[in-house]
Amino acid sequence: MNEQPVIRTQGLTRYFGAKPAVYDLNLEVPRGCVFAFLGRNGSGKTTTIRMLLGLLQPTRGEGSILGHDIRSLPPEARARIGYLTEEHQLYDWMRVKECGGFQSQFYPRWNEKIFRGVIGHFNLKPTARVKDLSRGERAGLCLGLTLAPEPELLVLDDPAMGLDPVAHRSLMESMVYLTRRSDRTIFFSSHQLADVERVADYIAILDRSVLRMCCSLETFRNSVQQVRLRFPGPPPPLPDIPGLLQAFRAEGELRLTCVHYGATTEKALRALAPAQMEMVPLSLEDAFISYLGERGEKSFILSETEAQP
Amino acid sequence: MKTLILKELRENLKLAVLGLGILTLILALSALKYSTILKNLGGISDSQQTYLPWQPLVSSDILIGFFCAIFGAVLGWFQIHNERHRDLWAFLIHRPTTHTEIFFGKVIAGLMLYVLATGLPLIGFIAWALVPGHVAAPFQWAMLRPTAIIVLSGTLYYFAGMLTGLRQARWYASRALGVGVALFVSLMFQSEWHLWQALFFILIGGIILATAVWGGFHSHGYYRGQPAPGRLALTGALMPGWGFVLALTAILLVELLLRSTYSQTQYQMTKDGAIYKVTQGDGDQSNIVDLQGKPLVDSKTGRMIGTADFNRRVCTLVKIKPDFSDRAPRGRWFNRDCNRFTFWRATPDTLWYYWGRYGRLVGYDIATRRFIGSLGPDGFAQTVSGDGSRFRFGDDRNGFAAASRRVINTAQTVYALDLEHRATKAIFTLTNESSGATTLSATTNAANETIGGIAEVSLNSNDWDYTIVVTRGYIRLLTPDGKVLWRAAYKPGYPDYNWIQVAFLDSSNQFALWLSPSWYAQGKAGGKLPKQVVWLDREQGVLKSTDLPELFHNGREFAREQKLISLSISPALMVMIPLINEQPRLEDIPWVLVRYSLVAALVCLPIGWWLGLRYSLSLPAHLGWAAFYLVFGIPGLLTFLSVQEWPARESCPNCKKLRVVDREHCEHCGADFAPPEKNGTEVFESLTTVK
Amino acid sequence: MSFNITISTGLNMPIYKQITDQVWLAFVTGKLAVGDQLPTVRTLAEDLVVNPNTVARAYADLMRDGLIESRAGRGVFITRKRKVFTREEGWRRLEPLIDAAIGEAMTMDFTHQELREAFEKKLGQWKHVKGGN
Repeated sequence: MNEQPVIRTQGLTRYFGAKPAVYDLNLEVPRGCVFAFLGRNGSGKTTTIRMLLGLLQPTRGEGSILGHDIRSLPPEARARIGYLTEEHQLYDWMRVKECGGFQSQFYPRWNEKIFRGVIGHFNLKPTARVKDLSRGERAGLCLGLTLAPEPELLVLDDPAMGLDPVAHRSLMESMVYLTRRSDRTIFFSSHQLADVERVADYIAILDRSVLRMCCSLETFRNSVQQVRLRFPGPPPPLPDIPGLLQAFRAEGELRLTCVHYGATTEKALRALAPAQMEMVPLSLEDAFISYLGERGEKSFILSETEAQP
Repeated sequence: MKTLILKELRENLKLAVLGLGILTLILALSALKYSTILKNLGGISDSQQTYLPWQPLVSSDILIGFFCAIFGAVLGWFQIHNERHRDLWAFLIHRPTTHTEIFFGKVIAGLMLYVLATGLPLIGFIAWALVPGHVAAPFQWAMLRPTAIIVLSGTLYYFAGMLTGLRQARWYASRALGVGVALFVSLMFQSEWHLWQALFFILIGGIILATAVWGGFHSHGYYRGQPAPGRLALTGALMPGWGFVLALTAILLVELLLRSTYSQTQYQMTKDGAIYKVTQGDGDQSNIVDLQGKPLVDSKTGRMIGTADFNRRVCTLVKIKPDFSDRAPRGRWFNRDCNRFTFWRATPDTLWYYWGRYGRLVGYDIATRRFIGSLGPDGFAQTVSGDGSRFRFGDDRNGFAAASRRVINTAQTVYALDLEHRATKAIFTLTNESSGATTLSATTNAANETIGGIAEVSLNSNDWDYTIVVTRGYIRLLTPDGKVLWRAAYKPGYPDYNWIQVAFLDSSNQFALWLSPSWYAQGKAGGKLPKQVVWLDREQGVLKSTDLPELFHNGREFAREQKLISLSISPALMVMIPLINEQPRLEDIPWVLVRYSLVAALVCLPIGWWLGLRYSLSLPAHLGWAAFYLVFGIPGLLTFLSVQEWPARESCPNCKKLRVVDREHCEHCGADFAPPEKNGTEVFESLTTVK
Repeated sequence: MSFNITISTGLNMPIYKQITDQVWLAFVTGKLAVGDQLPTVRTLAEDLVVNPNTVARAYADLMRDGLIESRAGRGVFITRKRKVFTREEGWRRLEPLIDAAIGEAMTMDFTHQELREAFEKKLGQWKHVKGGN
């Protein structure tokens, strides 16, 4: 199997005006994985995807997709990449089967069976007009159009956005179905941590235009840890703790979320002499929110301490 | 490609059908208007009749032109905008085909729809007009050439519309600048003489706009990332737009700021034969002084005479511009009616036209709207060409056609027309000139003389008082029955003095003859040629004569306003415009004005160079743009400003100077950009292929 | 087969762990017996709508712990229970769980007596499980 990454960027940067939307992005997506591309709104996910597909010129830096320079993607490369756009837009006036007919003319490897399968999965009538479809149905149709050419690389820009639970489940099923062939790569951006938890092998997190994390899902879960310290009296003030993301202060209790929790962190915490100290398992969503949420110390008893001068 | 074309056809069919409907409506209305006119002809005065739309095929051109421009632009814009405003653009572009193919798919479909929407109604309209009994006016296929050119130039608006939809610019107006090319080509028609000139401009404009659109497909509307031809074409496509914006701004500013000083002085003659200099200023009151500079005073009030009062004293003046060239009156082919035929006069049952192709008056029955026959020097004939004999009819008489309804001429003879009886009568022949009248000092060989122009004079609305006949040798005044009242020497007036005016003074025996130099001759002489004025009496001949210096002259000397405006215009354009003429002449180039716009261009040069340095253009780009400013002046600089997407600048961590962000290395010190600062939360793992 | 795996997202337990725990629970409660077949990785992944690699990871853990084995070309089966952990290792794994339960109970002011009784009661409920005595 080809060991070359399907997506590789080096110093990929895009400015809008004076503000960088993506800054110095170095990313490698190995073949055959399901890769989740995460970040808050406006962190540069869509900008990155549009650059990868040659729809937006990078301000500087370079990138390649399936081995082709992203600035000049040849038609052969595009034929091997399925791209589901953010808004699931299609031609309103077309019927479902016309969409398929239109798309199929461009792809030599068009698999009508897959197309029929996907639109059947989403309960779409071939004679329905696009303008009468619901958001989820449109997503299904787009997905069918994207999957039927049997692309090697599937790029999905926030595919779950605006889907109802049923359509959402169909989408996830389609994604799992797609992993049947081990040389297929899925690169998707999402805000649905549940989806990431189900299907992602790897995640990358963009935090305000900068890539901060790129690892396996397991590594991410292990890297972000919460520890609960109990104290007989009010918790002592916090020293400088490496990798501290958030600290919650409650009566007799200090809850800290850290990245890179290790021996150094533990030593620094033990020095506070807590009565009890235990690790609290975090859900993926909590870990993600701590990671991208506001940094620093918060207190549940802030108002009380302020009330006592 | 076929799929793309079919998709575009389906997608925009509605718009095309809408356009087709609107054009059909426009044309149907003009057909309807024509019928209404024919039915109510009695209610329209003779002088108004001249300007009626006698041939609807030709007179609807302006409406068709507006329609084609607007429809073309909307269609082009819509074809792009449809996908662009949603993210369908990404869906469209991300397919395994080249950008070029997508471009051609759109353009081929768009042009097909354009042809459908404009062609069908026009073909219907032409078919309607060609069926005998519908249009009572001459028709020849050449009359449709302007229409064809207008429809063809609509495609430029189509591409300009596409470019507007495609372009990524900071504000929408600068996206629409491409329309300037189409406007420029449209306006060129007004000064074009030849078909090839029109086709040439459409071709050039079309190539520029289409290439700019093609380039835009590669970069999704940005300048950066386009192939070189696309960048060049985009530059060329925006420049004329800036030219228009600037020229309009300059004209507006000059109008607003300098208008108060604007005045014009001209000579006027009163009924007693006195000459005054009348200066029209801002207000209603003109400054009226005699040739010595003494103000004309109202004898009752003792104050300067009022303009209205003075205008009542001014004598009747009849103008005539002779043309001795042998060619059949050709005129500008774009100049519609007068070129092909001229409405002559309507009798109660017949419409008469002078048709240049046959040199005869042709008649159409008003009731049946069918051709009835033609009238030539030999009389009436059932056919359009008769026995082949022709009248001479200079195109410049067109403007006075309303006053020339009763008289027409050949090279030697003046005929009185009796259209009611479809007959002509020779009233004056050069070779047989009656010598009963007082002849004035001149000798000439009558056999070599030809009539270069005649004018019918009506001092009171419906009378026929005199006929003026001009040959190279003489200017004559005839009575309606052809008797020569006087003749005055014209030689050697022609061709330098081609502007003749006859003033009819209070005493019916007294006249004045004004000879003015042509604009071209005056230009060559640097404004030094005087106007010649001769006072005549029917019995005594020439009473006196005088030369008057030219009061204003815009041949070689230019007003301050013109100089200021030319600052805003491309030097290249200033050189080119005078060349688009019937006979391009290098000496028509206004070098003085060209110099002014070159000065403006030279000022642009350092500004542009400095901007180029600031944004670190490469040396070839620097030189190329510098040449561009020199040739295109201020519009060139503005084009530079609007095509470039100015990258942000940041302080270099190494040399601390500001550097552009779209280069891999600092242009000053070559340092890289700093990687993002670490915040301690990074988790990176080397990812391997799973399984 | 009454055995059914369900997973949830958003828990503080990774999906592969949820799978292994449920297989273990089914085994110790008798819902799965030695020789029973488990769904293939692919089938289970599509059934649960999770990444097959996650299921594979869970199966790998179960295999390492000796609960299941893969028979070439036939599928995955519950195998004879082997003793996987030494006594020491077992204690090492068990101790933190007991600590956590007791710690939680103390903060909620349960008495030692109450805890002992609760423990006995629970053990009584699990009597039928093999190796319970």
